[in-house]
Amino acid sequence: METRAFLWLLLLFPLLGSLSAALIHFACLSARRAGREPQALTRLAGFVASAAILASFGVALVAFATIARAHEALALESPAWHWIDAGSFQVEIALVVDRLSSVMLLVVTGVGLLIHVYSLGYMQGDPGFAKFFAYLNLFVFMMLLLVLSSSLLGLFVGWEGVGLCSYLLIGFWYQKGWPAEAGQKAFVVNRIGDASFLVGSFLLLRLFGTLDLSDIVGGTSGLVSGRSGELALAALLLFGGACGKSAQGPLSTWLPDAMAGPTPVSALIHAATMVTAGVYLVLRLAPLFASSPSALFVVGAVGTFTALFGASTALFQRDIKKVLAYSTVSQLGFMFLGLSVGAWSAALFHLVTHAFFKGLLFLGAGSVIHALHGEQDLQRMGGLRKHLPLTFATYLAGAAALSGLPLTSGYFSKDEILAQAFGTGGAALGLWIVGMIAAAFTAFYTWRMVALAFFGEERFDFHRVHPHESPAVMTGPLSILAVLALVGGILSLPHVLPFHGLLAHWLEPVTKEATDLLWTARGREVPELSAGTEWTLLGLGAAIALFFARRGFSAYARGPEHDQALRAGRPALARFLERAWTLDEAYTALVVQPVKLASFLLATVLDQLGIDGALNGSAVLAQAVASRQRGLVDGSVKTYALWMGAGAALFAVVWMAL
Amino acid sequence: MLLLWITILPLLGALALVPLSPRRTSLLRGVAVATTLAVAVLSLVLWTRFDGTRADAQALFSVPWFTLFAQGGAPVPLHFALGVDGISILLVLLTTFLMPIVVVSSVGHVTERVKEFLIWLLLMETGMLGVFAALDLVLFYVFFEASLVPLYFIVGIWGGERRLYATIKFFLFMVAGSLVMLVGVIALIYGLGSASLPVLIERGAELSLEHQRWIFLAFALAFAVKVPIVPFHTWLADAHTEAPTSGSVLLAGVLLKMGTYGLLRFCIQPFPEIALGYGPVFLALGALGIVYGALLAMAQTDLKRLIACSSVSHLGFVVLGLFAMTSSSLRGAVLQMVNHGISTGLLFLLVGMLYERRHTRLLDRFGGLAAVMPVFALFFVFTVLSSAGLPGLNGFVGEYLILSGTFQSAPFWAAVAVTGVVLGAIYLLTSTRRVLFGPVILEENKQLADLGKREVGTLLPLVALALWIGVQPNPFLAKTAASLDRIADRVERTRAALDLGALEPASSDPLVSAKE
Amino acid sequence: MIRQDPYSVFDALSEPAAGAATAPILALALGVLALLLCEVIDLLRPLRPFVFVGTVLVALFFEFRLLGQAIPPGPVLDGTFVASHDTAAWGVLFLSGTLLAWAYSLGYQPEGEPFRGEHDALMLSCAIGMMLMAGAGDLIVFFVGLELLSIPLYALAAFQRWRSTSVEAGIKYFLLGSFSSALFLFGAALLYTAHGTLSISALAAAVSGSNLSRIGVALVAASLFFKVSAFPFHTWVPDVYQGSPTPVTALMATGTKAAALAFLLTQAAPLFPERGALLVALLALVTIALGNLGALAQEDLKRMLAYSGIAHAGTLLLLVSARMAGADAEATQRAAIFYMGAYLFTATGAFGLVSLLESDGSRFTRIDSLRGLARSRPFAAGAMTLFLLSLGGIPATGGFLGKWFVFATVVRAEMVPVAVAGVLLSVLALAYYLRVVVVMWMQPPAEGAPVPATTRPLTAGLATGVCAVLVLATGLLPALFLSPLNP
Repeated sequence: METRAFLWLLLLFPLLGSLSAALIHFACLSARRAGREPQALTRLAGFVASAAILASFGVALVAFATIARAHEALALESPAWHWIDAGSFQVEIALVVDRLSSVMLLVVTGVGLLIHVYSLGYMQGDPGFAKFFAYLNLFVFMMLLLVLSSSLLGLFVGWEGVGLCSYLLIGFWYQKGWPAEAGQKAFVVNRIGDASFLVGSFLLLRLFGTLDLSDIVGGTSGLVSGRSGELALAALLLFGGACGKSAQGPLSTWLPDAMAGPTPVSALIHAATMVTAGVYLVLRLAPLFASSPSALFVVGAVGTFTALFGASTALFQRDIKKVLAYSTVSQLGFMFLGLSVGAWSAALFHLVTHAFFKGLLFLGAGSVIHALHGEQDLQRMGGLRKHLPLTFATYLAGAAALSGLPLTSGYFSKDEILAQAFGTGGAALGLWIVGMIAAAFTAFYTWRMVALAFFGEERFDFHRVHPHESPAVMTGPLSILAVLALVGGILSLPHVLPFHGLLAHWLEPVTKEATDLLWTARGREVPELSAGTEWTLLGLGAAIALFFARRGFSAYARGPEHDQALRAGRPALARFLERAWTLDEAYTALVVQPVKLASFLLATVLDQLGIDGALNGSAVLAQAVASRQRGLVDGSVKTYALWMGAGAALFAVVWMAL
Repeated sequence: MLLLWITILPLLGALALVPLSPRRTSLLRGVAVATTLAVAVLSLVLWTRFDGTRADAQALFSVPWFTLFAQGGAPVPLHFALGVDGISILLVLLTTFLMPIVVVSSVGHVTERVKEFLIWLLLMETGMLGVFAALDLVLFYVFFEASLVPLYFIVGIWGGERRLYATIKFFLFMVAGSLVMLVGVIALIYGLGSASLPVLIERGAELSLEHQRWIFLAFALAFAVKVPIVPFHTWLADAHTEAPTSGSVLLAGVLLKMGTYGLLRFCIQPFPEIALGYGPVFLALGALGIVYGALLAMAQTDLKRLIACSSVSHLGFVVLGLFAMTSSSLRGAVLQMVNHGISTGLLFLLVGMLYERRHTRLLDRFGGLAAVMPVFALFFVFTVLSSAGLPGLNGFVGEYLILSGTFQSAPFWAAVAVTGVVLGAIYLLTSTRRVLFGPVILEENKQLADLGKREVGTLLPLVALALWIGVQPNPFLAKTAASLDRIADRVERTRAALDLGALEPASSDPLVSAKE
Repeated sequence: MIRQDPYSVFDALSEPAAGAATAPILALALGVLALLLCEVIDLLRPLRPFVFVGTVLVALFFEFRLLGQAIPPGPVLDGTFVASHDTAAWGVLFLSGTLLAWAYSLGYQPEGEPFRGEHDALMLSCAIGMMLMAGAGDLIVFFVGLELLSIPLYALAAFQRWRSTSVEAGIKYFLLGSFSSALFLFGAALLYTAHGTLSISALAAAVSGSNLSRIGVALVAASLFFKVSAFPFHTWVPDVYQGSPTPVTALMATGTKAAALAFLLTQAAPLFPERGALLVALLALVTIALGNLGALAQEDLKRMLAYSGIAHAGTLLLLVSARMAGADAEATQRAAIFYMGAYLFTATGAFGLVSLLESDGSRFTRIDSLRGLARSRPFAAGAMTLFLLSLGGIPATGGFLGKWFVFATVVRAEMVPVAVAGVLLSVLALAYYLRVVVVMWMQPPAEGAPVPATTRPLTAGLATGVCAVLVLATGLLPALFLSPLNP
C-alpha cells in the first residue's frame, strides 16, 4: 500500500469536464433563446469533455506504470475521504489502484476516451450536444468511483451514479416518449437489484462491522467456519445487485430497451463498462463468494442460462442494436460462468476483450445507422460493404472476436472460461455444455447479422438514403478497437502456448486467497488441465465457432428470407425466442399489474372509503344526532318543566339508592 | 438569551407588521424577510456555539412562569424554559432556514391579504421554534397546540378549492390527538412533581411501569397523528393538497417533524422500557407506512397530492429509525427529518412554481416540459433524485443510516422497508417522466416561461444544502452525536436488563451514560 | 339560634370581622338605593353611570381588601355568612362580570329608553344575590341570594318589552326559575325537618342515611343544577339566552353559573355522598355532549353560544364530581375560580360582541351574517376569534389553562377515563367554534349584505378590549391571577 494523492485527479478531471460541459449547455440554451446558434461553443463542450477523459487516461497510465514497475504486488491508495461518521458506523472512501482495479481503470478511461472521440462525430449537430458530453463525463466519474472505491458504500455511490447516468443517457432523446420510458425501466429494474445489494451490505456490516472492502476480503476466511450461512446469504444478495447492473437472469429485461439511447452510449455504458460492474463486484469480493460454493454455483447457473437466453434471443432480432444488446446479455453470462468456476482472471479477461469487440461492434453499428440516417432494421440494410468499407472491415474484426473465431481475442477469453468450467467438472460440466450451445448460437447470430448488414443486395431505398463512410473522427476509434479486438488475446494465452497466462499471473496476488478458499471449501486440489485436454477444447471451440459462423453467414448472405424458413419450421419456438422468452409479458402479469391494482385498492377503497369514510360518517352522524336532539328543546315550558320534574324525581330516587 | 431572541423575534416581527398599511405589500414583505433572515442568522450563531459533545440541553434560558397549585401533592412550578440539545438544534435550524425561503416564495402565490398572511407566517415560526426549544412540558404543549392556529388560517384563507374541508379535518385530527396527550401531560407532571423536560428525561423511567405505559400511549397517539403514522395519515393528503405552497412547505418541512421529534423526546427518551415493549408495533407501522405511502403515491393523478403521499412513505423511514433505537438508526432518523424537510420542501416549491404558471397540478396536463423549461427540469430532476435517496445526495445518507441501523436490531422490517427504495423510484420517476419528458402535447405548455431569478434564488439554498449533507453529513451528525448516543446507550442497557429478566429498568441514571 | 333582639343584628354587623365580610354587599345595597334615588330626582340622573361604576369599584375595593387579609374573617353572623379568600375571589368575578355586562348594555338599549335606572339597579342587585349565594353558610341566606339574583334577572330578561322574544324569555325563565326555587325550598324544608337546622356546616355534620334528608339534598342539588344549567335541567337555556337582551344573557351565562357553582363547591359539596361522584361525572359528560351537539346544529350565533355555555357547565360539573370523589378542596376551588374567571371574560366578551353587532338595528346574530367580517371589521373579527379559541380551550388563552386546571383536578381524583372522555367530547366543540371562524375569515362577504356599523359607544369597545386583554393575560400570565388565591 502506497499513498498517492494524485489518484483523486482521476475523478477530478471528468467531474470538472462534466460541470463545464453543463455550464456550456446552459450557455447554449440562453444563446438559442436569443436566436443565435452557438456552433463554436457547442464544439468546445465536446473537446473539453474528451480532454478531461484523456487527462484521466494519462493519470491511469501513470498509476498503472507505477504498480507494473514494482516487483511485488503493489497497490496505490489515495488519502481517504471521511464520508460518514456515525459513531459505531464509519465510512471512509479512498481510491485504490491495485492489480484488479488498474485493469478496469484502463478499460474505462481507454475505451471511454475512444468513445468520446467517436461521439464528437456521431452526435454532431444534436441540440443536446453539450449536455450529452456532460452526462458522459459524469458517467466516467461515477464509473471510476465504482471501480476505485475502497469502501463498499463508496462503490455503491458509483454503482447508483452510473445507473443515474445510464437513465439520463437512455432517455437522452426524451422528446420521443419511449426513450424516457426505457430509461425509467432501466433505473427501476436496477433499483430492484440495488435493494438486494443494500440488504447484502447491511448483512456484511453486521458480519464484519465495516464496509471497507479490504477488511471484508481479509476477514472472510475467519468467518467461514462459524457463519458460512450468513456469508453465502450476503454473497447471494450482492449477486442480486450484480444481476441488476449486469442484466442477468430475470433482471436482464432492461438492457435491450436501453438501446433507445444514442449508440455511443450503448457502446460505452451498455457494453464496455457499466454492465460489467456486476462482474467486477464479484471479482472484488471473490473470497466472499468463494467461501460458499453453493452461492457460487447459483451465480454460475444464472450466468450460464442468461448466456443461453441472450444468445438464443439474438437469433431472431431484426434490430441490429437489439442483436448486440442480447449478445451483451449473453456474453456477461459467460463472465459469470467463469466466476462461478473460480476462473477469476478468465472472467476479467473476457470482460476486457468484450469491452473491445462489443464496443467496436456497437460503434460500427452506430456508423451504419449514421450512414442510413437512423435505420436500425437489418431487413432494410444489406450490401453496405461497398459503401462503408472501413466500417465493414472493422465490423468483421469485431464479429470474428465475438463469435470466437480462432486466434481472435474473444476466442481465447471465452475458451479459457469454458475450459475451466470443463476442468472443474461435477455440476459445472452441465454449465459447460450449456455454455458451448450458447457459444454456437453466438457464432450463428453474429454472422447472420454481418451477412444481413453488409452482404446481399441493398434493401434500403436509394432515393432517401445515400450511405457514406463516416468521418475519420468516428472511423479512427473503430480501427483502434478493431486491432485490440483481434490481438487482445495476447493478454492471456492458454498455457499450452508461449507467453501464456499474463493476465492470470498479473491478477494472482488479488485472486489467490479466493482460489484457496474456493478449493478448500470444495475440498479438492486446484484442477490442472493436461495439455491434451487443453488442445482438444481449443480445437472444439474453434470448430464450433467456424461451423456455426459459416452456417449463419451462408444462410443469410443472400437476404433475410431464411428467417421465414426458420419461423415456418418451429413457429411457437420462434415466437418464444423473438419475444425474449416472454420475459416482459411475465413481468407485466406478475409484478406490474398486481402493484398497480394494490395501489389503486389502497388509495380508493381503504383510504377514501375505509378511513375517510369512517371519519366523514361520524361527522355526519354527529350532525344527525345534533339536529335530532334539538327536539328535546322544543320551546314549550311544559316540556322543560317536565324534564326538570323528572330530573328532580330521578335525583331523589338515585340519592336514596346511594 | 440567544435562544429566547430566536424564538420571539418572529413574534415581534408580526407585531411590527400590525400597524403597517396592508397596501404597502413590498414594505410588509421586506419586514418579514428581514425578520426571518435575522432569526436565521441568530440561529447560525447558536449552531456555531453548540457543543455536539454534550448530551444535555444547551443555550438554556429560564424564567419562572407560574405555579400549578398543589393538587394534593406539592405545588409544581412551571418555567418559561428554553434550550436545545443535539436533537432539537437541527430542527430549529431547519425551521429558521426554511422560513425566509417560504416568505420569498410566497411572493408568487400570495397576492391578496398579504399582511395577514405574513403575520400568520411569523406567528407560526415562533410556534414551531417554541415546540423544539421548550424545556417545560406545559410550555411545550402550549406551543405544540398553538402552532396549529396559524397554519389553520394559512390553509383556510389562502388554500385551494376544498380548503375548508381540509382545514377542519386537519385541525380536528390534530386537536383530538393533542387533547389525549393533554391528559398524559397532566398525569406525567403530577406523577413527576415537576414539569421540566430534563427532569422527565432523568426520572421518567422511575414512574411505575403502568403509569409509564399510559403516558407513553397518550403521547404516542398525539404524535402518531402528527407524523402521520398510518392509519392516521388521511388528513395529510388533503391538508397538503389544499394548502398554498408556503403552507405545504412548512407543513411538510417542519410541522410533521414535531411528531417525530415528540416520539423521540417524549416517548423513547424518557420511557425506554415501554418503547422497547411497543417497538415492534411501531417498527411494523413504520415499515408498512413506507410501502403504503409509496403505493398511495403511485395512484395519485395530482402532483401535489402525490408528493403528500410520498411524505407518508418518507416519514415511515424516520419512524422505523426511531424505534429501531440503535445509535446509527437514531442518527439516520434525525438526519432524515432534516432531509425530508429539504427534499419535500423543494418538491412543493417546484410544484408551486408549476401551478403558478398553469393553474393545474394534474399530471396529464403536462409532459415534455424539459424542452420548454430546462432550468426547471434540472431542479426538478435533482430534487426527485434527492428524494429518491440517490447516493451522494442528502436522502441517501439518512436512509442508509436508518436501514443499516434497523437491520442490526430488526432485520425483517429493514428488509421490508428496503422495498420502499424501489417503490419510491417508481412513483418519483413516473411523475418526472409525465411532467418533463415525452413530446409537448398541450398548446398552453409550449410557451411556459422558465424559472426566474427569484425562483431560482429560493431553490438554490436548499439544493446546496441537499448536496452538502449528501457529500459531507458529518457536521450535522456531529451535533447530534452525544444526545443520541445517550439515548441509544440507555436503550441498550434497558434491553440488556430486560434480557437478564431484571424488573428494574437500567435506565434509572442517564447521567452515567451521558458521561460514557 | 334565630335572634330575638332586632337591634343586635346591627351590633353583630358592627363586629369588625362581620363588617369586613359584608362590606361589599352593603356597598352594593347602598348603590342600589342611590341609583333608585337618581331615577326619582331628575337632577341627579346624569350621575347614574358614575354611581353605578363607583359602587362596583367600592365593592371591588372591599373584596380586594378581603383577599389581601392574611386571615380572612371566615364564618360570621353565627355562621350564616362566610367570607374567605375564595368567596372574595368569586365576588371579584361577579362584580367584574356585572360591570362588563353593564358596559355593553349602555350601547345596547335604544336611546331614550325609560327605566334605565331600574335596569342598572336590577343589575346591581343581581351582584348582591350572587355574593350572598357564594358566601351563604345557611340555606335561607342562600335562598335569599338566589331570589335576589333570579327575580331581577326575570325582569331584565323581559326588559325589551317591544320584543316578543324578550318577553317570552322573561316568562319562561320566571316560570322555570320559580319551579327550581320551589324545589330548593322543599328540599330545605325536608332537611330542616330531618335535622332541625339550616346551617350548612351543621347539616354536613349531621346529614345521615335517612331518606328524608337524602331527598332533601337531592332536591337542593336539582335546583342548583338548574342554575348551573346541567342536564337534565338545561333545556330552558337556549330559549332564554337567545331571547333576553344580549348583555343580560352575558350576565346570566356567567354570573348565575358562577354563583351556583361557588356554592356547590364551597358549601354544598360536603352534603353530597362520595358515592355520587361517578354519577355526577356521568351527568357532566352527558351535559358536555348535549351542549356541544346542540351547538353543532345552530345557525344563530347567540343560540350557539348558549349551547356552548351548557357544555362549559358540564365541564364545571366535572369539578364538582372530582370534589365529591375527594379531590383537594382548595385546589378544586381554585380550579373552579380560574376556569370561571377565564370563561367569564371570554363569554362576556363573545356575547358582548354579539350585542355590538346586533345593536345597530340589522341583527347580526345569524352565523352566516358574519361572512367576511374579518375584512369589514378586522378588530371585531379578531376579538371574536380570540374568544372562540378561548372557548375552545386553545393554548395561549385563558380557556386553555382553565381546561387544564379542571382536567388536572379530575385526573388527580383518579378519574382518568372521565378526563379522557371529557377532552374527546370537547373536540366536538372546536367543530362549531371553527365554523364561525371560517365564516368570518375564509368566506367573502355576501353580495349586498349589510355591513355592521362601526360607530359604537366607547364603553362597549372598551369592555371588549378589556375582555380580550384579560383572556390573553389569563392564558399567558396566569400568575397574576393565581397569586392572590394563594397568598
